[in-house]
Amino acid sequence: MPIITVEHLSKHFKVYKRRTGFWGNLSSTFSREHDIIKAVDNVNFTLERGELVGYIGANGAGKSTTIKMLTGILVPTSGHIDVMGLMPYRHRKENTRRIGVVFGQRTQLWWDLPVIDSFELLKHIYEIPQNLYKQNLEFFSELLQLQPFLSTPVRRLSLGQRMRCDLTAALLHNPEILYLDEPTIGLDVVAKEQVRQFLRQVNAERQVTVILTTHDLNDVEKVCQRLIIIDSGKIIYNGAIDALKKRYGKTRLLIVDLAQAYSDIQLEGVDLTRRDGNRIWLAFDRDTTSASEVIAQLTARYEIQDLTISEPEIEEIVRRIYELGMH
Amino acid sequence: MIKKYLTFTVKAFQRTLTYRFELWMELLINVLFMLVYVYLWKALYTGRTSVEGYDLNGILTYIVVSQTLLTFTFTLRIARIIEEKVRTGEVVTDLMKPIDFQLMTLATAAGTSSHTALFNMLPKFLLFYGAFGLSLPPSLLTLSLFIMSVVLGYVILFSIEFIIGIFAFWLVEIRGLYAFVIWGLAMLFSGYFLPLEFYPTFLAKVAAVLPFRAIIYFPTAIYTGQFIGEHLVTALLIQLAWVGALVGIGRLGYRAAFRKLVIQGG
Ligand SMILES: Nc1ncnc2c1ncn2[C@@H]1O[C@H](COP(=O)(O)OP(=O)(O)OP(=O)(O)O)[C@@H](O)[C@H]1O
Ligand SMILES: [Mg+2]
Repeated sequence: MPIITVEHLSKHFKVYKRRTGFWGNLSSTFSREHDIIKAVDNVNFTLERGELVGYIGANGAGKSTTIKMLTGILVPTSGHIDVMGLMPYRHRKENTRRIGVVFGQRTQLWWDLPVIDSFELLKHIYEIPQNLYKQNLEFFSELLQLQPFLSTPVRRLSLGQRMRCDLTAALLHNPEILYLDEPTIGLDVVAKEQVRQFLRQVNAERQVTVILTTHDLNDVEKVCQRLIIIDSGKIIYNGAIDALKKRYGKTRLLIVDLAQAYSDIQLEGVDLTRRDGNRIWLAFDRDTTSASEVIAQLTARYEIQDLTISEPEIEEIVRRIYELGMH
Repeated sequence: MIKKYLTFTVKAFQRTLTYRFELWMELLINVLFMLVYVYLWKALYTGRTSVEGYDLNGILTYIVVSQTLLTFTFTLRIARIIEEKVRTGEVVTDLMKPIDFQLMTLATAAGTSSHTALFNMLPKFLLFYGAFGLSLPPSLLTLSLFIMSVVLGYVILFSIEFIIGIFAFWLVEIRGLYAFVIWGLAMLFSGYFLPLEFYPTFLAKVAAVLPFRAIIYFPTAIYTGQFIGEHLVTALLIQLAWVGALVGIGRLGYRAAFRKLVIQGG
Protein backbone atom coordinates (compact mmCIF):
# COMPACT_ATOMS: atom_id res chain seq x y z
CA MET A 1 0.00 0.00 0.00
CA PRO A 2 1.40 3.42 -0.89
CA ILE A 3 2.45 5.69 1.98
CA ILE A 4 1.20 8.74 0.07
CA THR A 5 -1.72 8.77 -2.34
CA VAL A 6 -2.69 11.91 -4.19
CA GLU A 7 -5.83 11.88 -6.31
CA HIS A 8 -7.20 14.64 -8.51
CA LEU A 9 -5.51 17.18 -6.31
CA SER A 10 -6.06 20.84 -7.18
CA LYS A 11 -5.29 24.12 -5.52
CA HIS A 12 -6.72 27.30 -6.95
CA PHE A 13 -5.79 30.68 -5.57
CA LYS A 14 -8.09 33.62 -5.95
CA VAL A 15 -6.05 36.68 -6.64
CA TYR A 16 -8.05 39.83 -6.10
CA LYS A 17 -7.40 42.59 -8.55
CA ARG A 18 -6.16 45.70 -6.90
CA ARG A 19 -6.41 49.01 -8.58
CA THR A 20 -4.06 51.75 -7.70
CA GLY A 21 -4.86 55.17 -6.33
CA PHE A 22 -7.44 56.14 -3.76
CA TRP A 23 -10.59 55.58 -5.84
CA GLY A 24 -9.12 52.43 -7.31
CA ASN A 25 -8.43 51.13 -3.84
CA LEU A 26 -11.89 52.02 -2.71
CA SER A 27 -13.62 50.40 -5.65
CA SER A 28 -11.55 47.22 -5.41
CA THR A 29 -12.65 46.97 -1.77
CA PHE A 30 -16.22 46.61 -2.97
CA SER A 31 -16.04 44.90 -6.31
CA ARG A 32 -14.24 41.69 -5.61
CA GLU A 33 -12.94 41.06 -9.09
CA HIS A 34 -10.45 38.24 -9.13
CA ASP A 35 -8.35 35.93 -11.24
CA ILE A 36 -8.02 32.25 -10.51
CA ILE A 37 -4.53 30.81 -10.44
CA LYS A 38 -4.47 27.06 -10.85
CA ALA A 39 -1.29 26.44 -8.88
CA VAL A 40 -1.93 22.69 -8.78
CA ASP A 41 -4.31 21.26 -11.32
CA ASN A 42 -5.67 17.73 -11.10
CA VAL A 43 -2.51 16.02 -9.90
CA ASN A 44 -2.27 12.28 -9.28
CA PHE A 45 0.63 10.25 -7.91
CA THR A 46 1.59 7.75 -5.25
CA LEU A 47 4.71 7.15 -3.19
CA GLU A 48 5.70 3.80 -1.77
CA ARG A 49 7.30 3.50 1.65
CA GLY A 50 11.07 3.98 1.41
CA GLU A 51 11.03 5.74 -1.93
CA LEU A 52 13.18 8.75 -2.70
CA VAL A 53 11.42 10.94 -5.23
CA GLY A 54 12.41 14.19 -6.90
CA TYR A 55 9.64 16.69 -7.59
CA ILE A 56 10.77 19.22 -10.13
CA GLY A 57 9.38 21.96 -12.31
CA ALA A 58 10.11 25.50 -13.40
CA ASN A 59 9.53 28.52 -11.14
CA GLY A 60 5.87 28.79 -10.24
CA ALA A 61 5.08 25.28 -11.47
CA GLY A 62 3.33 24.33 -8.24
CA LYS A 63 5.95 22.40 -6.30
CA SER A 64 5.79 24.29 -3.03
CA THR A 65 2.00 24.40 -3.19
CA THR A 66 1.92 20.61 -3.49
CA ILE A 67 4.34 20.16 -0.59
CA LYS A 68 2.30 22.52 1.58
CA MET A 69 -0.85 20.49 0.91
CA LEU A 70 0.97 17.23 1.66
CA THR A 71 2.22 18.62 4.97
CA GLY A 72 -1.24 19.86 5.94
CA ILE A 73 -0.57 23.59 6.03
CA LEU A 74 -2.65 24.28 2.94
CA VAL A 75 -6.15 22.98 2.26
CA PRO A 76 -6.74 21.58 -1.22
CA THR A 77 -9.42 23.22 -3.34
CA SER A 78 -10.45 19.76 -4.47
CA GLY A 79 -9.12 16.25 -4.64
CA HIS A 80 -7.86 13.85 -2.07
CA ILE A 81 -4.62 13.31 -0.17
CA ASP A 82 -3.94 10.25 1.95
CA VAL A 83 -0.73 10.25 3.97
CA MET A 84 -0.31 7.14 6.14
CA GLY A 85 -4.08 6.88 6.35
CA LEU A 86 -4.46 10.50 7.48
CA MET A 87 -5.81 13.56 5.75
CA PRO A 88 -2.96 15.97 6.42
CA TYR A 89 -5.11 19.08 6.83
CA ARG A 90 -7.88 17.43 8.83
CA HIS A 91 -5.46 15.55 11.11
CA ARG A 92 -2.82 18.23 11.21
CA LYS A 93 -1.37 17.58 14.67
CA GLU A 94 -1.22 13.83 14.29
CA ASN A 95 0.27 14.19 10.83
CA THR A 96 2.98 16.58 12.02
CA ARG A 97 4.21 14.04 14.57
CA ARG A 98 4.97 11.55 11.83
CA ILE A 99 6.56 13.76 9.21
CA GLY A 100 9.65 15.93 8.97
CA VAL A 101 9.71 19.10 6.89
CA VAL A 102 12.53 21.30 5.66
CA PHE A 103 11.94 24.49 3.71
CA GLY A 104 15.26 25.57 2.27
CA GLN A 105 14.12 29.18 2.29
CA ARG A 106 13.38 29.36 5.98
CA THR A 107 14.53 27.73 9.14
CA GLN A 108 12.43 26.01 11.75
CA LEU A 109 15.07 26.66 14.38
CA TRP A 110 14.81 29.48 16.89
CA TRP A 111 16.79 32.37 15.51
CA ASP A 112 18.49 33.64 18.65
CA LEU A 113 18.87 30.37 20.53
CA PRO A 114 21.92 28.11 20.33
CA VAL A 115 21.33 25.17 17.99
CA ILE A 116 21.30 22.68 20.82
CA ASP A 117 18.53 24.65 22.59
CA SER A 118 16.37 24.44 19.49
CA PHE A 119 16.89 20.68 19.49
CA GLU A 120 15.95 20.56 23.18
CA LEU A 121 12.75 22.47 22.46
CA LEU A 122 11.90 20.07 19.67
CA LYS A 123 12.50 17.18 22.02
CA HIS A 124 9.74 18.53 24.25
CA ILE A 125 7.41 19.60 21.45
CA TYR A 126 7.50 16.15 19.86
CA GLU A 127 7.77 14.43 23.23
CA ILE A 128 10.79 12.43 22.12
CA PRO A 129 11.95 9.97 24.80
CA GLN A 130 15.31 11.00 26.27
CA ASN A 131 17.24 7.94 25.11
CA LEU A 132 15.91 8.15 21.56
CA TYR A 133 16.71 11.86 21.52
CA LYS A 134 20.28 11.26 22.68
CA GLN A 135 20.77 8.45 20.22
CA ASN A 136 19.45 10.49 17.28
CA LEU A 137 21.37 13.60 18.25
CA GLU A 138 24.60 11.59 18.38
CA PHE A 139 23.85 9.92 15.07
CA PHE A 140 23.14 13.17 13.22
CA SER A 141 25.91 15.18 14.89
CA GLU A 142 28.35 12.53 13.77
CA LEU A 143 26.99 12.23 10.25
CA LEU A 144 26.65 15.96 9.61
CA GLN A 145 29.54 17.12 11.81
CA LEU A 146 27.42 19.45 13.88
CA GLN A 147 29.64 19.37 16.96
CA PRO A 148 31.63 22.58 16.25
CA PHE A 149 28.56 24.81 16.18
CA LEU A 150 26.02 23.13 18.45
CA SER A 151 26.23 26.01 20.93
CA THR A 152 26.23 28.78 18.32
CA PRO A 153 23.06 30.86 17.95
CA VAL A 154 21.27 29.97 14.73
CA ARG A 155 21.47 33.52 13.38
CA ARG A 156 25.27 33.21 13.24
CA LEU A 157 25.37 29.97 11.23
CA SER A 158 26.34 29.84 7.58
CA LEU A 159 23.66 28.66 5.18
CA GLY A 160 25.27 25.24 4.87
CA GLN A 161 25.58 24.81 8.62
CA ARG A 162 22.00 25.96 9.11
CA MET A 163 20.75 23.48 6.54
CA ARG A 164 22.54 20.63 8.31
CA CYS A 165 20.90 21.69 11.57
CA ASP A 166 17.49 21.99 9.91
CA LEU A 167 17.83 18.49 8.50
CA THR A 168 18.62 17.19 11.96
CA ALA A 169 15.70 19.13 13.45
CA ALA A 170 13.35 17.58 10.93
CA LEU A 171 14.50 14.05 11.73
CA LEU A 172 14.95 14.03 15.53
CA HIS A 173 11.50 12.57 16.13
CA ASN A 174 12.02 9.68 13.68
CA PRO A 175 9.48 10.77 11.07
CA GLU A 176 8.37 8.27 8.47
CA ILE A 177 8.27 10.82 5.69
CA LEU A 178 10.64 13.69 5.01
CA TYR A 179 9.45 16.59 2.84
CA LEU A 180 12.17 18.85 1.49
CA ASP A 181 11.41 22.02 -0.44
CA GLU A 182 14.65 23.13 -2.11
CA PRO A 183 17.04 21.77 0.52
CA THR A 184 20.14 22.64 -1.50
CA ILE A 185 19.22 26.21 -2.40
CA GLY A 186 22.15 28.56 -1.96
CA LEU A 187 24.61 25.86 -0.92
CA ASP A 188 28.07 25.47 -2.42
CA VAL A 189 29.12 22.34 -4.28
CA VAL A 190 30.63 20.64 -1.23
CA ALA A 191 27.68 21.39 1.02
CA LYS A 192 25.25 20.18 -1.64
CA GLU A 193 27.16 16.93 -1.95
CA GLN A 194 27.05 16.53 1.82
CA VAL A 195 23.29 16.99 1.88
CA ARG A 196 22.81 14.51 -0.96
CA GLN A 197 25.00 11.91 0.71
CA PHE A 198 23.08 12.43 3.93
CA LEU A 199 19.68 12.00 2.27
CA ARG A 200 20.77 8.79 0.57
CA GLN A 201 22.02 7.42 3.86
CA VAL A 202 18.95 8.42 5.87
CA ASN A 203 16.74 6.90 3.23
CA ALA A 204 18.70 3.67 3.10
CA GLU A 205 19.41 3.16 6.80
CA ARG A 206 16.25 4.54 8.35
CA GLN A 207 13.73 3.71 5.62
CA VAL A 208 12.55 7.32 5.59
CA THR A 209 10.42 8.10 2.55
CA VAL A 210 11.76 11.28 0.97
CA ILE A 211 10.21 13.71 -1.47
CA LEU A 212 12.30 16.69 -2.48
CA THR A 213 11.91 19.66 -4.79
CA THR A 214 14.89 21.29 -6.39
CA HIS A 215 16.16 23.33 -9.28
CA ASP A 216 19.49 21.52 -9.26
CA LEU A 217 19.10 18.43 -11.38
CA ASN A 218 22.29 16.98 -9.95
CA ASP A 219 20.28 16.51 -6.76
CA VAL A 220 17.78 14.45 -8.68
CA GLU A 221 20.34 12.49 -10.62
CA LYS A 222 22.50 11.67 -7.61
CA VAL A 223 19.79 11.13 -5.01
CA CYS A 224 16.44 10.19 -6.46
CA GLN A 225 15.18 6.95 -7.89
CA ARG A 226 12.13 8.51 -9.41
CA LEU A 227 11.26 11.81 -10.90
CA ILE A 228 7.97 13.67 -11.04
CA ILE A 229 7.87 16.73 -13.27
CA ILE A 230 5.16 19.33 -12.79
CA ASP A 231 4.49 22.09 -15.24
CA SER A 232 1.89 24.83 -14.76
CA GLY A 233 0.22 22.73 -12.09
CA LYS A 234 0.01 19.55 -14.14
CA ILE A 235 2.18 16.47 -13.90
CA ILE A 236 3.93 15.89 -17.18
CA TYR A 237 6.31 13.10 -16.26
CA ASN A 238 6.30 10.49 -13.54
CA GLY A 239 8.80 7.68 -13.76
CA ALA A 240 12.37 6.48 -13.44
CA ILE A 241 15.15 8.85 -14.39
CA ASP A 242 16.72 6.21 -16.61
CA ALA A 243 13.51 5.82 -18.56
CA LEU A 244 13.36 9.56 -19.12
CA LYS A 245 16.92 9.49 -20.38
CA LYS A 246 16.21 6.57 -22.66
CA ARG A 247 13.13 8.18 -24.02
CA TYR A 248 14.58 11.59 -24.62
CA GLY A 249 18.25 10.70 -24.61
CA LYS A 250 17.77 9.31 -28.08
CA THR A 251 18.29 12.86 -29.13
CA ARG A 252 21.85 13.96 -29.54
CA LEU A 253 22.89 17.52 -29.52
CA LEU A 254 25.22 19.28 -31.88
CA ILE A 255 26.47 22.69 -30.82
CA VAL A 256 27.77 24.70 -33.74
CA ASP A 257 29.55 28.04 -33.94
CA LEU A 258 28.77 29.58 -37.30
CA ALA A 259 30.91 32.16 -39.03
CA GLN A 260 27.96 34.55 -39.10
CA ALA A 261 24.41 34.74 -37.75
CA TYR A 262 22.48 33.21 -40.64
CA SER A 263 18.90 34.35 -40.52
CA ASP A 264 17.32 31.20 -41.86
CA ILE A 265 18.61 27.77 -40.96
CA GLN A 266 17.05 24.77 -42.64
CA LEU A 267 18.34 21.22 -42.17
CA GLU A 268 16.61 17.88 -42.74
CA GLY A 269 15.99 15.64 -39.74
CA VAL A 270 17.30 18.23 -37.32
CA ASP A 271 15.63 20.52 -34.77
CA LEU A 272 17.07 23.91 -34.06
CA THR A 273 16.49 24.00 -30.30
CA ARG A 274 18.27 27.15 -29.31
CA ARG A 275 20.35 29.94 -30.75
CA ASP A 276 22.52 32.54 -29.18
CA GLY A 277 24.32 34.88 -31.58
CA ASN A 278 26.39 32.78 -33.91
CA ARG A 279 25.98 29.67 -31.79
CA ILE A 280 23.19 27.21 -32.54
CA TRP A 281 22.04 24.03 -30.83
CA LEU A 282 20.81 21.26 -33.09
CA ALA A 283 19.03 18.17 -31.84
CA PHE A 284 18.59 15.01 -33.85
CA ASP A 285 17.52 11.42 -33.32
CA ARG A 286 20.50 9.12 -33.11
CA ASP A 287 18.50 6.22 -34.55
CA THR A 288 17.45 7.89 -37.79
CA THR A 289 20.17 10.44 -38.38
CA SER A 290 23.91 10.14 -38.03
CA ALA A 291 26.14 12.94 -36.85
CA SER A 292 28.18 12.83 -40.03
CA GLU A 293 25.05 13.39 -42.14
CA VAL A 294 24.16 16.47 -40.13
CA ILE A 295 27.68 17.83 -40.34
CA ALA A 296 27.76 17.18 -44.06
CA GLN A 297 24.52 19.11 -44.53
CA LEU A 298 25.82 21.95 -42.43
CA THR A 299 29.14 22.37 -44.15
CA ALA A 300 27.43 22.25 -47.52
CA ARG A 301 25.22 25.24 -46.69
CA TYR A 302 26.93 27.34 -44.04
CA GLU A 303 30.38 28.34 -42.98
CA ILE A 304 31.29 26.72 -39.70
CA GLN A 305 33.91 27.71 -37.16
CA ASP A 306 33.60 25.05 -34.52
CA LEU A 307 31.32 22.25 -33.36
CA THR A 308 30.81 19.79 -30.49
CA ILE A 309 28.51 16.83 -30.06
CA SER A 310 26.96 16.07 -26.69
CA GLU A 311 24.82 13.29 -25.35
CA PRO A 312 22.08 15.19 -23.54
CA GLU A 313 22.37 15.05 -19.78
CA ILE A 314 19.31 15.12 -17.58
CA GLU A 315 19.76 18.89 -17.32
CA GLU A 316 19.35 19.36 -21.05
CA ILE A 317 16.43 16.94 -21.26
CA VAL A 318 14.57 18.72 -18.52
CA ARG A 319 15.36 22.11 -19.96
CA ARG A 320 13.81 21.04 -23.21
CA ILE A 321 10.79 19.65 -21.43
CA TYR A 322 10.28 22.92 -19.52
CA GLU A 323 10.62 24.88 -22.73
CA LEU A 324 8.76 22.72 -25.18
CA GLY A 325 6.61 20.44 -23.07
CA MET A 326 6.52 16.66 -23.40
CA HIS A 327 6.19 15.09 -26.82
CA MET B 1 2.15 18.14 28.38
CA ILE B 2 2.77 21.06 30.76
CA LYS B 3 6.48 20.31 30.56
CA LYS B 4 6.41 20.86 26.82
CA TYR B 5 5.32 24.47 27.35
CA LEU B 6 7.49 25.08 30.41
CA THR B 7 10.50 24.48 28.18
CA PHE B 8 9.45 27.50 26.15
CA THR B 9 9.27 29.54 29.36
CA VAL B 10 12.75 28.46 30.43
CA LYS B 11 14.29 29.11 27.01
CA ALA B 12 12.67 32.53 26.75
CA PHE B 13 14.01 33.38 30.20
CA GLN B 14 17.52 32.34 29.17
CA ARG B 15 17.27 34.19 25.88
CA THR B 16 16.42 37.41 27.69
CA LEU B 17 19.61 37.06 29.72
CA THR B 18 21.58 37.81 26.56
CA TYR B 19 20.13 41.31 26.20
CA ARG B 20 21.50 42.55 29.52
CA PHE B 21 22.66 45.99 28.46
CA GLU B 22 19.31 47.03 27.03
CA LEU B 23 17.61 45.83 30.17
CA TRP B 24 19.81 47.93 32.43
CA MET B 25 19.12 50.99 30.34
CA GLU B 26 15.41 50.31 30.50
CA LEU B 27 15.58 49.93 34.27
CA LEU B 28 17.47 53.19 34.66
CA ILE B 29 14.88 55.13 32.66
CA ASN B 30 12.01 53.50 34.58
CA VAL B 31 13.53 54.45 37.90
CA LEU B 32 13.95 58.07 36.84
CA PHE B 33 10.33 58.24 35.69
CA MET B 34 9.11 56.78 38.95
CA LEU B 35 11.20 59.23 40.88
CA VAL B 36 9.58 62.12 39.05
CA TYR B 37 6.12 60.71 39.79
CA VAL B 38 6.89 60.24 43.46
CA TYR B 39 8.13 63.81 43.83
CA LEU B 40 5.16 65.11 41.92
CA TRP B 41 2.80 63.45 44.39
CA LYS B 42 4.81 64.58 47.37
CA ALA B 43 4.43 68.14 46.12
CA LEU B 44 0.70 67.73 45.49
CA TYR B 45 0.16 66.46 49.03
CA THR B 46 1.85 69.31 50.82
CA GLY B 47 -0.69 70.73 53.23
CA ARG B 48 -3.13 67.83 52.76
CA THR B 49 -3.51 64.66 54.71
CA SER B 50 -5.84 62.63 52.56
CA VAL B 51 -7.42 62.69 49.09
CA GLU B 52 -10.12 60.17 48.03
CA GLY B 53 -9.13 57.98 50.98
CA TYR B 54 -5.40 57.92 50.16
CA ASP B 55 -2.94 59.53 52.56
CA LEU B 56 0.56 60.43 51.34
CA ASN B 57 2.03 57.07 52.21
CA GLY B 58 -0.97 55.36 50.59
CA ILE B 59 -0.69 57.28 47.37
CA LEU B 60 3.07 56.76 47.15
CA THR B 61 2.59 53.05 47.69
CA TYR B 62 -0.09 53.07 45.00
CA ILE B 63 2.15 54.94 42.56
CA VAL B 64 5.17 52.72 43.12
CA VAL B 65 3.23 49.44 42.91
CA SER B 66 1.26 50.51 39.83
CA GLN B 67 4.36 51.92 38.13
CA THR B 68 6.13 48.66 38.80
CA LEU B 69 3.25 46.63 37.34
CA LEU B 70 3.12 48.96 34.35
CA THR B 71 6.47 47.49 33.30
CA PHE B 72 4.64 44.45 31.91
CA THR B 73 2.55 46.67 29.66
CA PHE B 74 5.46 48.25 27.87
CA THR B 75 7.80 45.26 27.79
CA LEU B 76 5.44 42.48 26.67
CA ARG B 77 5.26 43.32 22.93
CA ILE B 78 3.46 40.05 22.11
CA ALA B 79 1.35 41.72 19.42
CA ARG B 80 4.48 42.93 17.67
CA ILE B 81 6.08 39.50 17.93
CA ILE B 82 3.05 37.85 16.31
CA GLU B 83 2.99 40.51 13.59
CA GLU B 84 6.65 39.77 12.88
CA LYS B 85 5.94 36.04 12.71
CA VAL B 86 3.13 36.61 10.23
CA ARG B 87 5.26 38.94 8.13
CA THR B 88 8.22 36.55 7.91
CA GLY B 89 6.04 33.48 7.50
CA GLU B 90 7.37 31.96 10.71
CA VAL B 91 3.77 31.18 11.71
CA VAL B 92 3.82 28.47 9.08
CA THR B 93 6.66 26.81 10.97
CA ASP B 94 4.60 26.97 14.16
CA LEU B 95 1.65 25.50 12.32
CA MET B 96 3.78 22.54 11.32
CA LYS B 97 4.47 21.52 14.89
CA PRO B 98 2.26 19.48 17.20
CA ILE B 99 1.76 22.40 19.53
CA ASP B 100 -0.89 24.91 20.60
CA PHE B 101 0.00 28.34 19.26
CA GLN B 102 -1.70 30.35 22.01
CA LEU B 103 -0.23 28.33 24.86
CA MET B 104 3.19 28.40 23.27
CA THR B 105 3.03 32.18 22.92
CA LEU B 106 1.89 32.54 26.53
CA ALA B 107 4.63 30.21 27.76
CA THR B 108 7.26 32.20 25.86
CA ALA B 109 5.89 35.51 27.14
CA ALA B 110 5.91 34.16 30.68
CA GLY B 111 9.60 33.37 30.34
CA THR B 112 10.50 36.85 29.20
CA SER B 113 8.25 38.44 31.81
CA SER B 114 9.62 36.34 34.68
CA HIS B 115 12.97 37.78 33.78
CA THR B 116 11.48 41.28 33.79
CA ALA B 117 9.82 40.66 37.13
CA LEU B 118 12.97 39.35 38.73
CA PHE B 119 15.61 41.71 37.35
CA ASN B 120 13.63 44.86 36.69
CA MET B 121 10.44 45.06 38.69
CA LEU B 122 11.59 43.58 41.96
CA PRO B 123 14.78 45.66 42.35
CA LYS B 124 12.93 48.78 41.26
CA PHE B 125 10.22 48.19 43.79
CA LEU B 126 12.61 47.36 46.62
CA LEU B 127 14.61 50.50 45.93
CA PHE B 128 11.57 52.75 46.29
CA TYR B 129 10.19 50.71 49.15
CA GLY B 130 13.38 51.33 51.10
CA ALA B 131 13.90 54.92 50.04
CA PHE B 132 10.39 56.20 50.80
CA GLY B 133 9.29 53.94 53.62
CA LEU B 134 6.29 52.49 51.77
CA SER B 135 3.83 50.02 53.25
CA LEU B 136 3.59 46.29 52.72
CA PRO B 137 0.23 44.58 52.17
CA PRO B 138 -1.70 44.39 55.46
CA SER B 139 -1.37 40.59 55.72
CA LEU B 140 0.25 37.55 54.20
CA LEU B 141 -3.12 36.56 52.79
CA THR B 142 -3.43 39.94 51.07
CA LEU B 143 0.05 39.48 49.68
CA SER B 144 -0.87 36.12 48.15
CA LEU B 145 -4.14 37.48 46.78
CA PHE B 146 -2.18 40.41 45.37
CA ILE B 147 0.19 38.03 43.56
CA MET B 148 -2.75 36.05 42.25
CA SER B 149 -4.34 39.25 40.99
CA VAL B 150 -1.07 40.29 39.31
CA VAL B 151 -0.95 36.97 37.47
CA LEU B 152 -4.58 37.30 36.35
CA GLY B 153 -3.93 40.88 35.25
CA TYR B 154 -0.92 39.67 33.33
CA VAL B 155 -2.95 37.04 31.47
CA ILE B 156 -5.52 39.73 30.61
CA LEU B 157 -2.80 42.00 29.24
CA PHE B 158 -1.31 39.06 27.33
CA SER B 159 -4.69 38.15 25.85
CA ILE B 160 -5.39 41.68 24.70
CA GLU B 161 -2.00 41.82 22.98
CA PHE B 162 -2.55 38.37 21.52
CA ILE B 163 -5.85 39.47 19.97
CA ILE B 164 -4.20 42.59 18.52
CA GLY B 165 -1.45 40.38 17.11
CA ILE B 166 -3.99 38.12 15.42
CA PHE B 167 -5.20 41.11 13.40
CA ALA B 168 -1.86 40.96 11.58
CA PHE B 169 -3.27 38.04 9.59
CA TRP B 170 -5.72 40.43 7.95
CA LEU B 171 -4.14 43.85 8.21
CA VAL B 172 -0.92 44.83 6.51
CA GLU B 173 0.21 46.48 9.68
CA ILE B 174 -1.07 46.74 13.20
CA ARG B 175 1.18 49.41 14.68
CA GLY B 176 -1.67 51.91 14.79
CA LEU B 177 -4.05 49.50 16.47
CA TYR B 178 -1.34 48.49 18.93
CA ALA B 179 -0.56 52.10 19.82
CA PHE B 180 -4.24 52.93 20.23
CA VAL B 181 -5.01 50.00 22.52
CA ILE B 182 -1.77 49.62 24.48
CA TRP B 183 -0.40 53.15 24.59
CA GLY B 184 -3.83 54.76 24.55
CA LEU B 185 -6.64 52.76 26.13
CA ALA B 186 -4.52 50.58 28.40
CA MET B 187 -2.53 53.52 29.72
CA LEU B 188 -5.64 55.60 30.24
CA PHE B 189 -7.87 53.01 31.85
CA SER B 190 -5.51 50.66 33.64
CA GLY B 191 -5.03 53.09 36.52
CA TYR B 192 -1.27 53.32 36.39
CA PHE B 193 -1.33 57.10 36.33
CA LEU B 194 -3.86 57.71 39.08
CA PRO B 195 -6.04 55.52 41.24
CA LEU B 196 -9.35 55.24 39.37
CA GLU B 197 -11.12 56.86 42.37
CA PHE B 198 -9.55 60.12 41.20
CA TYR B 199 -11.14 59.89 37.75
CA PRO B 200 -14.16 61.99 36.76
CA THR B 201 -17.33 59.88 37.06
CA PHE B 202 -17.77 59.63 33.32
CA LEU B 203 -14.27 58.21 32.74
CA ALA B 204 -14.56 55.94 35.75
CA LYS B 205 -17.74 54.51 34.22
CA VAL B 206 -16.00 53.82 30.95
CA ALA B 207 -13.09 52.23 32.81
CA ALA B 208 -15.52 49.96 34.63
CA VAL B 209 -16.74 48.27 31.46
CA LEU B 210 -13.27 47.79 29.96
CA PRO B 211 -10.80 45.07 30.90
CA PHE B 212 -7.85 47.42 31.39
CA ARG B 213 -8.45 48.32 35.04
CA ALA B 214 -8.06 44.63 35.85
CA ILE B 215 -4.45 44.79 34.70
CA ILE B 216 -2.99 47.32 37.12
CA TYR B 217 -5.64 49.00 39.22
CA PHE B 218 -7.11 45.83 40.75
CA PRO B 219 -3.87 44.25 41.97
CA THR B 220 -2.59 47.60 43.20
CA ALA B 221 -5.80 48.33 45.11
CA ILE B 222 -5.53 44.88 46.69
CA TYR B 223 -1.95 45.60 47.68
CA THR B 224 -2.74 48.92 49.29
CA GLY B 225 -5.69 47.46 51.18
CA GLN B 226 -8.17 49.60 49.27
CA PHE B 227 -10.05 46.47 48.25
CA ILE B 228 -11.03 44.23 51.11
CA GLY B 229 -13.59 41.55 51.78
CA GLU B 230 -16.39 41.30 49.28
CA HIS B 231 -14.86 44.05 47.17
CA LEU B 232 -11.64 42.07 46.82
CA VAL B 233 -13.42 38.83 45.91
CA THR B 234 -15.49 40.67 43.31
CA ALA B 235 -12.31 42.11 41.80
CA LEU B 236 -10.77 38.65 41.49
CA LEU B 237 -13.96 37.26 39.96
CA ILE B 238 -14.08 40.09 37.43
CA GLN B 239 -10.47 39.32 36.54
CA LEU B 240 -11.29 35.64 36.11
CA ALA B 241 -14.22 36.48 33.87
CA TRP B 242 -12.03 38.70 31.69
CA VAL B 243 -9.37 35.99 31.49
CA GLY B 244 -12.00 33.52 30.30
CA ALA B 245 -13.52 35.88 27.78
CA LEU B 246 -10.28 37.23 26.32
CA VAL B 247 -8.50 33.89 26.15
CA GLY B 248 -11.59 32.55 24.40
CA ILE B 249 -11.70 35.41 21.90
CA GLY B 250 -7.98 34.98 21.23
CA ARG B 251 -8.55 31.32 20.59
CA LEU B 252 -11.40 31.89 18.16
CA GLY B 253 -9.32 34.59 16.51
CA TYR B 254 -6.30 32.45 15.86
CA ARG B 255 -8.43 29.54 14.68
CA ALA B 256 -9.98 31.88 12.11
CA ALA B 257 -6.54 33.24 11.23
CA PHE B 258 -5.10 29.79 10.67
CA ARG B 259 -8.14 28.80 8.65
CA LYS B 260 -7.53 31.79 6.42
CA LEU B 261 -3.84 30.87 6.20
CA VAL B 262 -4.45 27.27 5.15
CA ILE B 263 -7.02 28.29 2.57
CA GLN B 264 -5.36 31.34 1.08
CA GLY B 265 -1.75 30.34 1.58
CA GLY B 266 0.98 32.17 3.44
N1 LIG C 1 -0.85 32.26 -1.45
C1 LIG C 1 -0.90 32.40 -2.78
N2 LIG C 1 -1.78 33.24 -3.34
C2 LIG C 1 -1.84 33.38 -4.67
N3 LIG C 1 -1.08 32.71 -5.54
C3 LIG C 1 -0.18 31.85 -5.05
C4 LIG C 1 -0.03 31.64 -3.64
N4 LIG C 1 0.94 30.72 -3.45
C5 LIG C 1 1.37 30.37 -4.68
N5 LIG C 1 0.71 31.05 -5.65
C6 LIG C 1 0.90 30.90 -7.11
O1 LIG C 1 0.80 29.54 -7.42
C7 LIG C 1 1.75 29.17 -8.41
C8 LIG C 1 2.60 28.03 -7.92
O2 LIG C 1 3.43 28.48 -6.88
P1 LIG C 1 4.47 27.54 -6.12
O3 LIG C 1 5.05 28.33 -5.01
O4 LIG C 1 3.82 26.26 -5.80
O5 LIG C 1 5.57 27.30 -7.25
P2 LIG C 1 6.94 26.49 -7.15
O6 LIG C 1 6.88 25.38 -8.13
O7 LIG C 1 7.27 26.14 -5.77
O8 LIG C 1 7.95 27.59 -7.71
P3 LIG C 1 9.47 27.92 -7.27
O9 LIG C 1 10.33 26.98 -8.01
O10 LIG C 1 9.63 29.32 -7.79
O11 LIG C 1 9.56 27.81 -5.80
C9 LIG C 1 2.50 30.44 -8.74
O12 LIG C 1 1.93 31.00 -9.89
C10 LIG C 1 2.28 31.32 -7.54
O13 LIG C 1 2.32 32.66 -7.90
MG1 LIG D 1 8.73 26.76 -4.36
